[in-house]
Amino acid sequence: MTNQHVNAIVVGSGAGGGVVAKELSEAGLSVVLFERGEWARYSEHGDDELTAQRSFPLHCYFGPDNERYRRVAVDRQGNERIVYPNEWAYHNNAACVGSGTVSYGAMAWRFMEEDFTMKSTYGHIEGSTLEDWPVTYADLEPFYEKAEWEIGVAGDDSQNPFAPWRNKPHPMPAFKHNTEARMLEAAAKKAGFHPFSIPMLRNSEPYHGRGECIHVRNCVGFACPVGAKNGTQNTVIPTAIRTGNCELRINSQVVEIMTNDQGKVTGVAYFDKQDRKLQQTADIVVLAASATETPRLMLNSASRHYPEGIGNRHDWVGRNLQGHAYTGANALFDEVIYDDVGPGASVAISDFAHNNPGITGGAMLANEFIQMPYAFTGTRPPGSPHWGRGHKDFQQENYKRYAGIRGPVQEMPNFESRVEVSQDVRDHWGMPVARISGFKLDEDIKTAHFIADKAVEWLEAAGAAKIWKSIPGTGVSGSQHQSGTCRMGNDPKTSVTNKFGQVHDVENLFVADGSLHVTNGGFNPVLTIMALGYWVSDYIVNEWQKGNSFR
Amino acid sequence: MKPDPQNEAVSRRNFLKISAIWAGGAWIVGYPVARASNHVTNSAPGRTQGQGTEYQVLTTDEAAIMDALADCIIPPGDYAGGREAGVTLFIDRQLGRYLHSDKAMYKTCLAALNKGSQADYEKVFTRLGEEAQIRYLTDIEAGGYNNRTGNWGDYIPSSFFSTMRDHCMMGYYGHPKHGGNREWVSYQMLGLPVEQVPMSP
Ligand SMILES: Cc1cc2nc3c(=O)[nH]c(=O)nc-3n(C[C@H](O)[C@H](O)[C@H](O)COP(=O)(O)OP(=O)(O)OC[C@H]3O[C@@H](n4cnc5c(N)ncnc54)[C@H](O)[C@@H]3O)c2cc1C
Repeated sequence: MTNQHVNAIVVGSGAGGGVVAKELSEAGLSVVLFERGEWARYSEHGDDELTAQRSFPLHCYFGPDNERYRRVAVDRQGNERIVYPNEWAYHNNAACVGSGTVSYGAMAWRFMEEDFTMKSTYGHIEGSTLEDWPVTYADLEPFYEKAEWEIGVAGDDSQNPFAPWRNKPHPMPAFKHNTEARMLEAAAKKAGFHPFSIPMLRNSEPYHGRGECIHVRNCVGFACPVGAKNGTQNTVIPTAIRTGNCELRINSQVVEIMTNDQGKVTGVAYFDKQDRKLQQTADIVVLAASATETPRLMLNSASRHYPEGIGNRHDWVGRNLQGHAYTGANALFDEVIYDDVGPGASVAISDFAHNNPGITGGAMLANEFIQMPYAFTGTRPPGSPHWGRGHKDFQQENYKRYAGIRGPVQEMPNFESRVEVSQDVRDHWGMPVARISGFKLDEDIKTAHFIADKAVEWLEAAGAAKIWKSIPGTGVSGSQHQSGTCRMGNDPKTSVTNKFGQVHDVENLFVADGSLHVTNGGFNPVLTIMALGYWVSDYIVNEWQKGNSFR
Repeated sequence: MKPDPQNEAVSRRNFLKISAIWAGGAWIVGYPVARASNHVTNSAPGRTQGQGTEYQVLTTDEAAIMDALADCIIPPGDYAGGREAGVTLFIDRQLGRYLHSDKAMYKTCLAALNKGSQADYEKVFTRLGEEAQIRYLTDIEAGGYNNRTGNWGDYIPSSFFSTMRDHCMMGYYGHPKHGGNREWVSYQMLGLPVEQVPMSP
């Protein structure tokens, strides 16, 4: 079986890849969008907490599976072990059409202006590769707007004095709060903070032919029963397919980027559902396989031209792996505050994302998504019984009297937190798996303490009866907010791509996922990844229309 | 987004060494060797009295030990305890499915745990009173038993306890389709309606 040559291959149908497939196919390029997983469906998965993408003790319904996938995790002492997708140390996001955007919490944050200029704002941080982005907020602003309007965001920045400037409001009105969030909103004001409704990739009113949110409790970690949560799988990917120019090829594991004698990329090799090894050629290849799998693919694509892996001449591929140092506080209240109106998270403050004396960066803070009953068994003040009568009584008494405030602390990137490929362990197809190692800097933990104290202040203002903090450990971050491993930059010696996501030295190879992030903001990353998808596509399409076919 | 620290610390996969998969210079398709080898037991799968539940992995004896454990982890009261809620059935089903790599551990550790109380309490675990059972398990959890009594094989008693405890929680609070949480009893206890109807704040 030979595949017909196409103009562009996109590897990965998640946040970045879905957007790129749509933009290129709409511009008339023929596209194959590769996805290792398949379509995920609410009708198949339903409300099963034990296989959901947030706590997945049995397996990850939204992929990948434990049979064919594994990684190597290295702890701080240097001990290695094999880990499987439903273990935290695997640092999973997802593997299905739309990837994490099917089951995500759908918070739709724009990074702030300072988030793109961290080095010039805060100076050098010991042990960190902190750097400014080669693009500014102003460069990305139109593309944030495009993501908000094409994919669909409900929000209202007028209540958030720290929101970055914008040219156009959100396309849908902000969500109203449930009982808990209304109580916390009042408390935030009392504490002198500036609470607002979190922008969400969720329909607060019918939008683009799909209905409005029905506020189930099973939102984050689950597919939406009524399709009111907006991911790439129900927006840009269907649009791409409708152009007639884009073929979505599911169950297809890309294993290598192919190059010719001149070092040009010619296409990819992949395994189909029957484990047959096939090839697809193209003029351009865009990698959007996530901040773990994109560098893995590049490192697994060594050749005579690229002995250290493609794009890795200066050993930057896979470096600077980041997520967020999640921090915050938990509280029990005397009265019931739970009203079963999902998804839970809806009130936030950006007061402490920047401009904190003596602190580098910071984080937004928001109330937590509803914790499902099994997940709640891990939520206890220190010293509480984890089983027996004490466990059961706690669960029964406090499930509806609990609230949590949490924030994604912006981490300082470091060179030693990284994705490599294992020398020993291979996946189902015989390819070296990702090996993940690294740590957080002391600076991150310091910020986490600072932010957790603010969460405590907020909960105190709410009159909580009992409050306890949760401070992150020092292990490497990644997981659902993984980013940074193919940093964009102007200097080929200290970055992997240029400011358009084009890999230095490899004219027809691009990256368009979380790997590009130089820093990861004090906010959830997906809207920025989508905006970058539009930004990278804009460059490719402009070049293409000028006659540059990258051949 | 929060790992259960207990579960994380004692994950069964801690015991796997990389050499198990990279053996003799050849990569192994599918599960590493250590996970694929299932203990073969002589005893036939059991059947609980009364309910006619057929176990697929656990024997009648093992199920009885598991029932007693489930009631210690989540005791009966206003709402069903772990045994009545079907925690044992959940574990049996999952040892044949998603948790199959824990099957050998359960086979060894349930028997070892049951016999292990004889030295200090003169009775097997299932015959102890509630108070003694809890004292014994508290000791195991705290690391008081280290292959000292009974035949724990290569397993660490406190690690088994921690994993088993977590599985009981899954069985009690998870979706009934996996075998536990009979009639959504834990949701009833928490006052959570099972059917979610469209609503707005
Ligand atoms: C439960 C959950 C909640 C979340 N909540 C939020 C939130 O509220 N707000 C927010 O901003 N973010 C949230 N996220 C994170 C968000 O989903 C990610 O930031 C985003 O999806 C990352 O985009 P990406 O394009 O970098 O990679 P992904 O979206 O992960 O896309 C990568 C795709 O590539 C595929 N792939 C990988 N390797 C290969 C290969 N070799 N061949 C073929 N295909 C391959 C993968 O299967 C996947 O589909 C959440 C994620 C989860 C799981």
